[in-house]
Amino acid sequence: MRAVPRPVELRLLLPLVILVPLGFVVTHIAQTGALDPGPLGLAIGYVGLMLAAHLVLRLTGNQGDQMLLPVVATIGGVGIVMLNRLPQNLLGANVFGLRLGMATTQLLWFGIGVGVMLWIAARFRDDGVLRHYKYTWALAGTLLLIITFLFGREVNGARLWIFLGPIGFQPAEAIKVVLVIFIAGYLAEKRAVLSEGIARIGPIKIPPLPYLLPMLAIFFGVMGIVVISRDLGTALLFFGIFLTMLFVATGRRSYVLVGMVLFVVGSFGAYQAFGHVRVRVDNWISPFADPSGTGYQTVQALYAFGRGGLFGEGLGQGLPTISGHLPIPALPTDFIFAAVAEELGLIGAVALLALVMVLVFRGLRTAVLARDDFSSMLAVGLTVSLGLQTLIIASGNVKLVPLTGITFPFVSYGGSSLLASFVVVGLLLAISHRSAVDAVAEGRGP
Amino acid sequence: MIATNIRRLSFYLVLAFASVSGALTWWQVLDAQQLATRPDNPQVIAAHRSLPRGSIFDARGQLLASSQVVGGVSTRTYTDAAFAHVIGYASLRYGATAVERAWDDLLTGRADPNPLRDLLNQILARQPDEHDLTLTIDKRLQDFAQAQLGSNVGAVVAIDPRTGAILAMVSSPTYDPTGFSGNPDLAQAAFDAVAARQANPFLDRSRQGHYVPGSIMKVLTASAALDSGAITPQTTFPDQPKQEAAGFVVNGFTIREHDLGSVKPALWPLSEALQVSSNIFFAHVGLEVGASRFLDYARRFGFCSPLRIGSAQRGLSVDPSYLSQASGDGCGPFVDEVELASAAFGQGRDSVTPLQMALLAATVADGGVLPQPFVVRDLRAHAATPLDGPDATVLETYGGAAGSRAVSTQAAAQVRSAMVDAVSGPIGIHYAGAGAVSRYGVSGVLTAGKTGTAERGPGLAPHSWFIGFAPAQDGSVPTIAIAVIVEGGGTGSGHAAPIGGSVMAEWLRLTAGG
Amino acid sequence: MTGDILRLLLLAFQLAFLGLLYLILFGFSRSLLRDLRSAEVTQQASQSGIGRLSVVESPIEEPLAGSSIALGPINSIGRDVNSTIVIDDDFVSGGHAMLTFRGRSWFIEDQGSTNGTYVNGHRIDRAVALSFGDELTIGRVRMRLER
Repeated sequence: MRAVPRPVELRLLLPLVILVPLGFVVTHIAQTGALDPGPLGLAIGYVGLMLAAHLVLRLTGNQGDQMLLPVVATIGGVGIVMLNRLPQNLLGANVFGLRLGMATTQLLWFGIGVGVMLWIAARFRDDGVLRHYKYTWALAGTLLLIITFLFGREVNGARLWIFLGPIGFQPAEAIKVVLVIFIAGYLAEKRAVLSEGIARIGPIKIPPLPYLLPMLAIFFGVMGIVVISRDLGTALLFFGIFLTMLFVATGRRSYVLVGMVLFVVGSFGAYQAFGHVRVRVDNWISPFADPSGTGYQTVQALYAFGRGGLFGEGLGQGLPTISGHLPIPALPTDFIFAAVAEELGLIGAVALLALVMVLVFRGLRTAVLARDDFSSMLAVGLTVSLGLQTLIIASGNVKLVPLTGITFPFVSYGGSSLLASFVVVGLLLAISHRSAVDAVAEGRGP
Repeated sequence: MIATNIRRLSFYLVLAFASVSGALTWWQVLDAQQLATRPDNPQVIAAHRSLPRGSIFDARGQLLASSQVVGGVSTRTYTDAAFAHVIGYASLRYGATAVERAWDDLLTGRADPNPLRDLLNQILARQPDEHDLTLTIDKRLQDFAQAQLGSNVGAVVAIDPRTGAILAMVSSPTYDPTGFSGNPDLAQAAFDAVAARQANPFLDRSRQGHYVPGSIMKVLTASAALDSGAITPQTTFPDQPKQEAAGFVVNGFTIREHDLGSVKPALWPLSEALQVSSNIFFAHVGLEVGASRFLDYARRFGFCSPLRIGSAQRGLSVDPSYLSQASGDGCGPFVDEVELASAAFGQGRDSVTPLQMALLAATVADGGVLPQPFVVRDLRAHAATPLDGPDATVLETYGGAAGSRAVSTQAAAQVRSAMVDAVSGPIGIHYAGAGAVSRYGVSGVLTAGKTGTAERGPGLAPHSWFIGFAPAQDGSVPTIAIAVIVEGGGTGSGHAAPIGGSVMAEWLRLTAGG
Repeated sequence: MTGDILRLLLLAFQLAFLGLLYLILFGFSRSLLRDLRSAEVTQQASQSGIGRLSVVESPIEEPLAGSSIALGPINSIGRDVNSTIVIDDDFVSGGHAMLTFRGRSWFIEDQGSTNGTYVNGHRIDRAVALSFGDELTIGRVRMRLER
């Protein structure tokens, strides 16, 4: 491993040195009304962490994509500024009897996430481990899910959490990554067969079902458990990732179309069968029907958007509390996007979405440049998992689709989600490193 | 292959992100105003809970409404129940109505009349300064009118015909809205107590009461006919007496004269016809004017569309008055000539608000120009001690908008002279003489007026109407025009006319004194 | 008035935050565009190739382990010196297999060899479609199909 320069990464990371501390200062002044920078430890810690990650990537000779880390660091920077600005006792963790505030806990998770990302970026440059044991991965994921289902703890009506002593995590986040690896491995192997089609009845091509079946079986098994454990957001996300990867592998819109029809039928069934689905959908259609009851959070989020307007209420000056409480209890997790939109306005929220799009573009570029089909499919799946997750939660916030409880990657509060997202970035770094090294070896490309 | 599919995928993803941004734009920019004004919006609640609110004064600086912040909750006190319908209330629980609603942002200071200050307040998120309002209404006249109505159900609207300034606007029964403000939990009991009372005290009858006008509508018919040239003051309808034996037959429907008592039917021109309030004469006139011209004149007087007290941007809304079915632009075509003829003498499908009828009187008084009514005179800096009267700093003035001409000066003068006869002519004095100001101690001043008895159908006592203005002798400029309705009050001369006369007389006395 | 100065300062800071966010975004889009242009150049340079075989494992010198062979649309593989890809291994037949690009995908077909052709460890008995990243084993030589 020879050290390599990563100048673009450094150049794009440097503005964060101002951005994050500035955000901390602004919110402190706005909230206290005193001209005083306030405590900046967390901001400096965050920026230091990202610069250190840059240094490690240089020293380990990673030649992977140089825009991934800066864009993730910027998105996360906006997130940590928002979380730091909220009442710190809202959420948090007890570590060794020490009560940590929300932003401190989040920074801790950022540290763990970045560490894991760097380890993966260095360790998984050869994809063999991921590729050859795809069934093992799928099995491990399914087992994890079943364990959660059996022994998990219920929070807010969904059985999502496993607790190991004081530390709880959401296995669905890990399963998301594992599932992508499995689907990528399977599709890369069977892609040619799947896209050619095997039989025809008149003009209709019949998909080669025997090849699809093992994957469909595992996939719908996972989906079934996810749906039963009432984690609708994750179910929607898994399904979206699956359809997108199938489309990219085969180029057939018919798969997507059939999938969407299945989804609509399934949703209708779920609407009829499950009370909590019905409540979600009814709130989506008419949140103002019960603005103080089931529609409360949705309505409050809409008010937050309305207050924000074009330029926002100003960082630190929005989110009015009613007798000391935030109007939206799930603000740091499910509605962090509404909080950003209120304080930074439409232009701030659009900037955040644009940053996620930059991340998605880089991920897809990594997929295009990858040397083999498995890496391509893996990069597509991982990228889409982040992109779709953002789309689902953001459009849930703005009432484009029914609200589901998933996180905004790198912005929402939550350790499992942050960790999983950094695993994704680590894998993308590894994949892009390999294609860059190969391209140089063949004397094409820089 | 995969590369092509990924390119397609990125296109779809861009599309998805764009649609989220689109939805975001909808809530944050396009629909933001609507969201911001919803009463369950925490921002609105929080703002009203603790925001100080400016005071409201009458035309002479008497305090009508003021607020104190007690324990973080803004509590409002109203001094005079006679103003309940004009001022309305500002309640944490029930929202705001009337002037409190229309001027809400300025009273609380969320908006500032100075655009530069307003912008700075918004940008810098400054704690705004509340503002005070001064009304055009004189508390003395308002209280007098309320007392005249007493326990009757009805309304009085008095307007200065020269400017459109509202001089009095009362609706009976009224209520005290003081209990509605402040602590939202206590407000409910006070609100429910008022809501449980008879005859819906919340209804502002002057703006939202819909009544059959009866004979006072003949003033509109006469104005339209004279201005359009359909009749002159000398026109008579030769076959009148014969027809009056049984009634005037229009399309097979017989229009009957009301009971004229001792008066003998004759070949009357306008003045006498208005004095006896001949239905048949005005049915003829209506037919002469014709349906489309009649509706056209009604629109010129403000019928067929919602009126505003104040401006289109800021003011109180008044329900529209109608002559025919409310379709199309507000006044649909008459079904047949019977409906037209009935509308011409104030029955049929006519449905009017007291404010509209006060404007009709004011237009005749103002030489044919329909004044633009307004009730808030100016916006001022907040007075620290409201009991000592308003601050001298006027930030913004309202009203004074030019009226629109409804009929010619000549036609207005002819109607005015007929209306003077209707109150003090040899026959008219029997019907409307009770509305003459001279009866209430203002001697040497003539009054113009017209009574109305609005038939509501068998078994129901008719509504009692009076419209008029004073002073109305030749060469004088009328300073007050009035409309009075007493629900179920019987004949116009019985109930409404004495109230109208005494209120106008009171105003002439108050203004003569200084 | 001091309150106003503080508010003005706060506003300036808030605007600076938003401005900086957009400056960063601008930096990203500039780098994105620059990358896109250089990627196009790279793509044009490599347009001629429809795929490569990289030799993963080889006990012999022809082909050499670690080398990468550019492919044409039709490639014969065998010990015969006239083969497009010569594998000088005793376990390989003269005309061992055909590797062809048909429209959208690569196909491999065994030409009746003695020791057979393996894709990802499975012996094939008919024409098989390949994905990029698949491994071919012919004789003792392992090769991977790459873009």
